[in-house]
Amino acid sequence: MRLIEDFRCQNIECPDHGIRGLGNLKFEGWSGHKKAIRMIRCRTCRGHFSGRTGTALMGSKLPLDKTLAVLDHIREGCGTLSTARLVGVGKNTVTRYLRLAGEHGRKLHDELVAFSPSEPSRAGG
Amino acid sequence: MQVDEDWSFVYKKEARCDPEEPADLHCGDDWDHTAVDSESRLLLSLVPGKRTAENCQKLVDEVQRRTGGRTDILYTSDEHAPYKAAIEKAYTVEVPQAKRPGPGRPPKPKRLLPGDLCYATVCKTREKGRVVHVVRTVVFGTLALVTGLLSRLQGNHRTINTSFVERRNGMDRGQNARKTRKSYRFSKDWDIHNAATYFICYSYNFCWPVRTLRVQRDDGSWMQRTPAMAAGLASHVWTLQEWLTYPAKPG
Repeated sequence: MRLIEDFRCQNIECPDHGIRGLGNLKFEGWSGHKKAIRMIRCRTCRGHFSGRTGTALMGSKLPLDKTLAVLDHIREGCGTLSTARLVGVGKNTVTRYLRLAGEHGRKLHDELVAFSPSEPSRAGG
Repeated sequence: MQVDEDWSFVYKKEARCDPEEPADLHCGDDWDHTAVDSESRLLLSLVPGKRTAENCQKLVDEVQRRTGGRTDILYTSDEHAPYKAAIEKAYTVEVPQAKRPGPGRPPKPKRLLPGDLCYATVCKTREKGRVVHVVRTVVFGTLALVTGLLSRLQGNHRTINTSFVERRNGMDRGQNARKTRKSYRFSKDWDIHNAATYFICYSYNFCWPVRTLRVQRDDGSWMQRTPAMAAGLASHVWTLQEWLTYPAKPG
């Protein structure tokens, strides 16, 4: 379960959108099948969004473990068709999740991997 | 910082593509230009596309941006020519010159590379598929400066080499079924191919513990570390679920 500090307001019209740890968010309610997805409320814009917004699982209709199994198979070197056969989904489902995961990876890399080594020992090579 | 290119292809190989055919624009060879920090094995930048000077420039520009414009960096690559010009273009600074007394046009600013920036190339000669000779050339900087930068590094790498980026590219080929040689699993669509590349390469930074990065705890047990942990960007090995459900910036 993710902490509330990991989330950020996903409403692009909110003045605090995209910034983490401002204390403007709180968990409020559940959604999805078996009420498994946390809903989050932003106190600044009074917006309400799902905990999956902004993740690779946004809008996913597959159960979580099946989605993870699809992407785990892909990451371990299975092809699209073999993944589809092993997990029991369609080949277009595999490519759809692959596309979502790729886009998510690009965004996450842009945000998290700003590698500016502070000590001299960390540069070079 | 080691830079290299990793080959793969989409739909058909470059030799079978017709440059006049619009349908072949997004087919053919695809090269992943990669930059890897040799100490932490962090994949810093990835630019997939054709093997052009523009893409090399994009890669070097991105490395410069992500390292906060630092100049005490040692770049190493193979002898792919565009990197020299790309590094020169990205790091050259204009130094204004003092005006000479008397009449006349003021002198143009001098374009200089930072003194602490180094770039070296590695050229391997192979016989029957085995490396028999390696020539290392310092292109920018001096040998003393390169030796100084290498001696700062932790771990067991004391020579100019491209081993770490090549090892990572090899691992990527093992993990990504679309890049397996001589198989029918090659990509048929350019966008999906790039999505698979981004997903596998970027999740590697946070989710893939590299054996040689592990450190021994006081009790003798080993702590596995990912490239992101070695670079100080993460505190633990992320699960794939953590990586996929980490909310990214909207837009």
